[in-house]
Amino acid sequence: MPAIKVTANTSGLALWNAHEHKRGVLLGLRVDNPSINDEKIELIDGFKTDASKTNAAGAAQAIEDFLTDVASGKIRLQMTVPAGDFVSLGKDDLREVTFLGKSYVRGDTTTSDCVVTAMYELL
Amino acid sequence: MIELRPPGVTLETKAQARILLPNHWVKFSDTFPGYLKHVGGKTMRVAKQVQVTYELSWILKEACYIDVNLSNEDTGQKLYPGADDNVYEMLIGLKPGNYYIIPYFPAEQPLYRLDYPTMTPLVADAALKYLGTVKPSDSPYLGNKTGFEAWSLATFRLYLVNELKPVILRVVTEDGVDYEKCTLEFFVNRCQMEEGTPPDNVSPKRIEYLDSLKW
Repeated sequence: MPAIKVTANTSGLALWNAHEHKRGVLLGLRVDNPSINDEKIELIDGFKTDASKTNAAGAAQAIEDFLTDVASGKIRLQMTVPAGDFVSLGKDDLREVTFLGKSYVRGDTTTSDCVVTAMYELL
Repeated sequence: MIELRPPGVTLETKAQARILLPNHWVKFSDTFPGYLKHVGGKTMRVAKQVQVTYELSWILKEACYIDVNLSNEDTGQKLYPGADDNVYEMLIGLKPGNYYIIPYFPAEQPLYRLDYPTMTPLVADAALKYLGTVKPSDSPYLGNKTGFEAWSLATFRLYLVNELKPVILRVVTEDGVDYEKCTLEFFVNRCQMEEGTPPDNVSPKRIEYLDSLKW
C-alpha cells in the first residue's frame, strides 16, 4: 500500500498521478496540525472528461477540464483540523472516497507545520 | 455469435474450457453473409492461440454516452482480426461503476430487443434505457484479482472475424452520479484457424452470425 506525506499548501500538492484505467481509493488519512492556526484541508480530484453525448437529446457534451487548474477539481473530502490537534481516518471512514484522476491536497494556508499523510490504493 | 448468460442459468457438471484452445473445433453458421465467405459455413480447427488483454477507459459526465466501435475502421479501436484465418474470441469484463453498455450490430441496430415495436433500447427514455443492457454485475471484471481469475465471471463474449461489420458498444453513465470512470477490460483469445474435418467423436462449437439474435 503506497503512502505519501505532504504539507498544507494553498496551491495544492499532488498525492498521486492519475492511472488511465484505475481509480484511487484512500485507505487511511492523518492530518497533524501542531501550528497555532486551524487548517482547512481539501482533497481534490483532478481529471478531464471524454467527449460524449447527452442521453436526453444526443447533443454533444463538451470535454470538461477539472485538472489544469487545481482549484477547479472536484472536492472529495474536506475537513478543518483545529490548531494543535490531529485527525486520523481509517478505511471504514474513507470507504466511499474515490478519485477518478489525479489527487491533490490543498490547505487554506501554506504551512510546513500541517502534515498530511495518505495511504492509498489504485483499483 | 454473442453470449451473455445470466449467472445461474446452467449448472456445470463437468470441468470444461471456457475459451477456445488448440485442437478445439468450431463450425461457423451458414447464415454468415457473402462478404464473410472466408468463414461462413466452414468448420475449422484452432491451430494455435494466444491470450491478449487490453483496457479502455472513459470519464463521462452523468447521463451521457459514448459509442465505442470495436472494428479496425479509422474511428474504431482496432480490436478485429486482420487476416481471414484469424478469429478473436473476446471476453469483455466491466469494472464496477454506475454505467452500463448497450451492444449494437451494426450501428444503430441494438442486439437485444423485444417483439413489441417500441421495446428497443433508448437512452433518452427512463425505462427503455435499461432494456437489453449489460451492467458491470452481468459481466464483471474483478480488478482486484489477477490473471484468468479476474476474468472468471465475465460472461459477455464476442466472436470476431476479419471484415465483420463494426460492433458498437454504447457506454452509458447513470443519471445522478456526477462523473464516472467507465473501464472495459478485453480478454482477446487470438486464434489462428485451419479449415478441416473434425474427428467423428468431436462436436464443433457452433458460432452463429450476430444477426441471428435479431429476429
